[in-house]
Amino acid sequence: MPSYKLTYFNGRGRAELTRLIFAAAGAQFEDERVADWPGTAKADAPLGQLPYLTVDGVKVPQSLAFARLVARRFNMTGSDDLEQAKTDAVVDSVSDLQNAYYLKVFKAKEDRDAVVAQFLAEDAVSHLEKVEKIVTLYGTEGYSVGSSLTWSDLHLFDVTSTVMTLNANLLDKYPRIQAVRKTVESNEKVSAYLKSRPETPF
Amino acid sequence: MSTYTLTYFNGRGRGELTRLILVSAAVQFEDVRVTWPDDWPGTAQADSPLGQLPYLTIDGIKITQSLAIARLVAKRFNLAGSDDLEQAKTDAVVDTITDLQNAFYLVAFKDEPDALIAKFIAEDANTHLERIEKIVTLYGTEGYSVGSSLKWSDLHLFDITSTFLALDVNILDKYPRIQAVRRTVESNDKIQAYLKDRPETSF
Repeated sequence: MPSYKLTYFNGRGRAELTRLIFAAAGAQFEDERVADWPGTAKADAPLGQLPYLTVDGVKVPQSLAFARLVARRFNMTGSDDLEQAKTDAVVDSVSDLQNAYYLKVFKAKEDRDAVVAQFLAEDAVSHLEKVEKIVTLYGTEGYSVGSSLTWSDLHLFDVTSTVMTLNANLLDKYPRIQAVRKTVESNEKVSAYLKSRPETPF
Repeated sequence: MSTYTLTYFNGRGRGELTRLILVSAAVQFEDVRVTWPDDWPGTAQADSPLGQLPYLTIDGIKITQSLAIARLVAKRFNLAGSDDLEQAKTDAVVDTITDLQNAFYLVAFKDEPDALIAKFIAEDANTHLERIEKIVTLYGTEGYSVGSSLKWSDLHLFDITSTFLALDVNILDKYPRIQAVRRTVESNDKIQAYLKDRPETSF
């Protein structure tokens, strides 16, 4: 049995996707949440950044690289290499939205209201349209790719949850995105996890 | 035998990695180069899955997102790593290099980029190059970013660092492992032949 330890801050951020994958798979992992940063934790991190995953003693940084590994091992990446490529493509389109959020909204300070308004009016719309388009192209009702739960569904759920805190009606025009969220929310293991996970500011 | 068509602009940008992978694997592919303003936006944008380039058409199916495309062909042609953990390490190296590429693109395609690019080279590039040097030292051996055989992460490293060398010939002086990987790629027969023939483009 491989052993997994996920090291991140006490927050969702770039680690929550992998926590959701473990939860959906019903798999055990050590959920290390660093309070003392930089401290020794930064020196321990392969690239001086969080998160990283330790798999049987081997450290893997880069959140999407290790999320993909875990998803693969628990059969949530798609049934063949072409489906895996489609899942990767959906993940990357969702990450485009996530990165825009981190670049603009997460870092905003005094001008936050203006930044959020611009983000919602322009970036969010542009990225959500693409996500709606790609899940319509590759998926079926309730699934971003094919017709079973993949890590791209979990990433879509996670990132849209964060962006919806800016505007609860944000997804009104995107029915396929909403349908994927419903699938994830109604998954037994995931909904149990969502009920019990800590509330954190990010 | 699958048929592969890569559709991108006439440039290296986010398309070159997939070209390098297919070349090093000696795979035939159609290299469609969209010009603007003639083809783009126009019909070429309408034909693309998300209104963006590149995309890869495999037996009629369109796959978008440059790294998803590159990973698929790397896996098919044994350039992604021998087991899932090696593939994760390769993905991690690729993502670390892409962090540099994306940070650079944020400044390089602005209207008056020269001062921004100079600042990037002087201040930001080294933070990313240090991480790349660190991760290839952690996962690779002399001349390889991961393990001891050619991977798509070596090709991505070569492609992206080439852009920076063109801006500052000394920029890799402090990074011997990065330089060693570049030498491996440059001395690969098929890549050498390709580099001699490929079009000169502005990006």
